[in-house]
Amino acid sequence: MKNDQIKHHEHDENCECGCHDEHHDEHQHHESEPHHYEHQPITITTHDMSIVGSYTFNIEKNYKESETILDDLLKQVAKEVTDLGGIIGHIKAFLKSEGESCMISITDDESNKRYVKEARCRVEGVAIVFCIETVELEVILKKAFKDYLSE
Amino acid sequence: MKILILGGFLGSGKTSIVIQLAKYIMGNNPENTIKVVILENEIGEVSIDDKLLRGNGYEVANMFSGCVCCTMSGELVIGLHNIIRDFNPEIIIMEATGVAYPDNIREIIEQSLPDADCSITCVTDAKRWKRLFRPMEMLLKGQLDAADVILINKADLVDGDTLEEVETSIRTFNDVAQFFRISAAEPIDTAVFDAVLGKE
Repeated sequence: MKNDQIKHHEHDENCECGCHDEHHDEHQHHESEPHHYEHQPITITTHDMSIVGSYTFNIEKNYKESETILDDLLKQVAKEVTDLGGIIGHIKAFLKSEGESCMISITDDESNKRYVKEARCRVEGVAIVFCIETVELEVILKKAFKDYLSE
Repeated sequence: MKILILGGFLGSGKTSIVIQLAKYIMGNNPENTIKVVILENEIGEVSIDDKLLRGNGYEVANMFSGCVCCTMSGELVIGLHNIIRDFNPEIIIMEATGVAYPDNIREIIEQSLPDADCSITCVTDAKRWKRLFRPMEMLLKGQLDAADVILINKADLVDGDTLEEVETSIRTFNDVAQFFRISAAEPIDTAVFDAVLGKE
C-alpha cells in the first residue's frame, strides 16, 4: 500500500460516511497507519502487473432486484475488460441489504410496532484485472456503475 | 503454533477452501472457535472475503488495501503478534491475496516467529489454467514453486485429458509438492485437509 493513497477526512459521530460502524473493528493494519481513507466511490490502484479497481455504491432496490442488477453490472464489466484484450483476475462484490426495520412504540403497556421494508442495498466490490490500462478500467467501472454512483 | 499459508491466483477458490478447512479443523464443537483464526489479506480498498468468512461464524482478522508479501509485510508481523496476543490460536490460516508470492510471506513470518510451523498450500484453477498460463506465467510460477501442497481446484469443470495436461503443466513449476485434484464446490476429502495440515 502506498502512503500517497492514504487520505484522511475528519468526522464525528454525526458523519454520514458510514465508516464508524463498518470499519473500526476491521482494519487491523490501521493500528500502525493513519486511520481512514477518503471514501471515493471508485478508486484505482496498481500492484505489480495487476490493476485494482475498488468500488462502493448503493442500489435503491430491494435485495432480489439488486442481486439481478449487480450480476448484470459485473458481467458487463467483465465483458468490457476482455473486449479490450484484458485478463480478468477476479471481479467480485459483496451485496448487503439493509433489510427490514421496525419502530416499537409504547405509551401504556401495549407496544405498537411499525415495520419498514428497506429498499436499499449496499455494494462493495473489487475488480482485479491485467493487461489493460488503469484509465481503461476506471472508464469501464464508471460507465457500468454510472446510474448508481450518485445514489 | 501452525501457520497455514493459502496462496494461489485470483479466483482459484482459496476462500471456498478456507471455509471447508476451518470447518474440518474445528469440527462441530462450537467451543473450538478460538482454536483457529483466519487472517485474510485482500488487495482491494474494500474487503469482500472476510464478510463471507465472518458470515460462516469464524474468527477473522483482516488486512486489506495491499499485499502482505511485499507492501504490507510490516503490518503482517504486527497483525500476527496481535492475533497471538488476543487469541493464542493453535492454527492460523493465512489467506493470501491472489497476486501474492506465498514464499515471501513464509520468509517474513519465519523471521518474526521462528518457532512457528509454517506451510504453504497453493490453489490452482483447472478451468482457467491454460488461459492464464502464458500471460501470467511468472506470477503463477512464483506462487507455485515453494508450495508444499498443490490443490488443483475446479477439477470437475474440465475433462480428464485437460486435467492431465493441467497437472503436467503445473508440475513443470513444482514436482515435489503433494498434488490433489479437488472441487471446492463439493465437500473436500479429509485426506486433502490432513495433507494441508501436515498430518502423517
